[in-house]
Amino acid sequence: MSHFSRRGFLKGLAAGTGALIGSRFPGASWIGEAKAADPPASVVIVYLIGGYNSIFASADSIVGKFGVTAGNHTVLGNGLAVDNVYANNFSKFALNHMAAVGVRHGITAHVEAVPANWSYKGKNAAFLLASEMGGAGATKAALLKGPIALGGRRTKVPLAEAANVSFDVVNDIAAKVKALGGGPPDPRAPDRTIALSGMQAARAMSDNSLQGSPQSLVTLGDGYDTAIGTLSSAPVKFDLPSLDTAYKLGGVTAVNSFATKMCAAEVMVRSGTNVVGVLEDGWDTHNDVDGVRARNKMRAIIPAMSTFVERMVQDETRNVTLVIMGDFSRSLPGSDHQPNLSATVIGRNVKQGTTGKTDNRVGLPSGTPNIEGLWSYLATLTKVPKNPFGANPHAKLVL
Amino acid sequence: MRTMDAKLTFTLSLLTTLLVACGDAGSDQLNRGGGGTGDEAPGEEGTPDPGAGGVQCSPSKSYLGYGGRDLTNERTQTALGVDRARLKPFGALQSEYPRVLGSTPASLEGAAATFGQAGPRWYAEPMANSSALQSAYDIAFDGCLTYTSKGAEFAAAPDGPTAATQCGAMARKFWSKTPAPQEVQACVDMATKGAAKETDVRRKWAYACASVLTAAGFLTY
Repeated sequence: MSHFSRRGFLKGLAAGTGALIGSRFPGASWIGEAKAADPPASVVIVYLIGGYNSIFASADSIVGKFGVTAGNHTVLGNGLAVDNVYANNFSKFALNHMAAVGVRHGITAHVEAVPANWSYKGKNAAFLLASEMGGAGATKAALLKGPIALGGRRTKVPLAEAANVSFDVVNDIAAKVKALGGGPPDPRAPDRTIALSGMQAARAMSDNSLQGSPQSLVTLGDGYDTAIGTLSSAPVKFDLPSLDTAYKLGGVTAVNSFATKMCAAEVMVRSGTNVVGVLEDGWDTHNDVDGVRARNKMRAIIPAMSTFVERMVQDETRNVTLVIMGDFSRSLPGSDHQPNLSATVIGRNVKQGTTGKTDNRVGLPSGTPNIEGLWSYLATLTKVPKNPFGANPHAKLVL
Repeated sequence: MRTMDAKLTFTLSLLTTLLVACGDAGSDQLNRGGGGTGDEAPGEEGTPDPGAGGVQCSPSKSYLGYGGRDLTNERTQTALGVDRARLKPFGALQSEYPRVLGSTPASLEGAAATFGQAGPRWYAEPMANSSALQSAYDIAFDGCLTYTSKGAEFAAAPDGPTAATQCGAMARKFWSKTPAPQEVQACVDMATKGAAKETDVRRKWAYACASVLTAAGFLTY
């Protein structure tokens, strides 16, 4: 395993993968002025590639299926019932500020579900939200993904035709902290203000190349711009050992485990990033008829999510919303592909309840909104003055 | 194995599609569309010229794959001469820095994760991001401190003429091509203005050197 020296391993980014799909839209913020109301808002989306079993969002609807019993789920209130993996591991605050949000998208193919869930009218919904939120952070949207097996097939979307929104893929926590100006002093490191000039000069020297390869070097151009924005901003200090302890990283800083992703999410939230996507592969749990695999997989990742909730979502100086979702729910009886989704949302502006309660076949009512309803709900929670996704259809889930 | 198989299948499918896309000269045509001229001035890339019409691959046949899926419906149409540049993967940069600098920057070690290096037996098309670029500048500066620590040419503070000479030489060496005048000027400005507050003359040169190494001329091929 790699340690703070960052030696070792990383299964890298698969070409053409990523769920923060992009398309440019005019008028979007690059650095941007503050638009969202105080306290500063962020949305962190944990996206489980493959699917998200409804035992975590509507357990009482499917008693006797997926291993749900009277004793292993908890009715939280206002119709919301969750598996005890949630009830026993999330804080009281999280459970009191948790909602299940229904998404009736009608999609059963991974390759269609991923881009659909991250899109709004053909544009990147995450970038659209990040842009509308404004704020002072140099990076408006970030992606934490690590290795994604099958990613090229399932998430065949252009990652960083990165709109006019500063965007970053964080591969290493220590490097990101250093880039934000929070690293330890180093005599062989450049002065931050001179490095800004150096980055601007490098970009100027690259103009011909960027113009000659507008697609193949799109991430390079966006990278220069985001780096210049970062270096132009005030340094953000971090306590790396404290982060390491909180997320139990064991010295690992390479973003290739769920814990390092959530730690990196905290770093990005603290640096002012509006929307953070956390991609976690391996949730296509076919044949998981008793829900054991889904529960075990959730047990493995919930400690880091719980830590994030306690440190970020419960921070009264912030308005951080955590979303847990996947391509779709798992269908009965074989844990295959259900053409809808019940996402979990946790945040201080979330009113406990559900619009994602399923029937005993994991179906959602016919009037349940599509994915734009979830994005509109998230925008509402951030308190942006103008909701880019239209009216919020999940108003009953807002405090 | 399942993931490797899928990856392999995807790659082979992609390769097959690409080969089919332009390999059938009888039915598909190469049309002069919007590409570069090939006679670019030093430092210039193949800038598309929509009005002039460069070479494009225009398919007239479609091909069905397994499941009846049209293998050509996602084919990207681009002009020849553009989008030729690709980012060097970290594995290449590991030897590129020492090749052009004559020594290996110590900070290069352990930077693989930052650059998103693929694991053994995997290939991932590199993608830039701001953290990697800032790390690239840091690594370059580290190496350039050594590079400029000796030599009479770096013993005096850069001025317009000396900076132009050294910037041109560094760019030629690091990029393996002759830089355009505006690219040299960007480096000159860095050496004479951007690093003005640096009092150590050789560090001042190192900042300019690092900016040349962080430009697309070095980071891409």
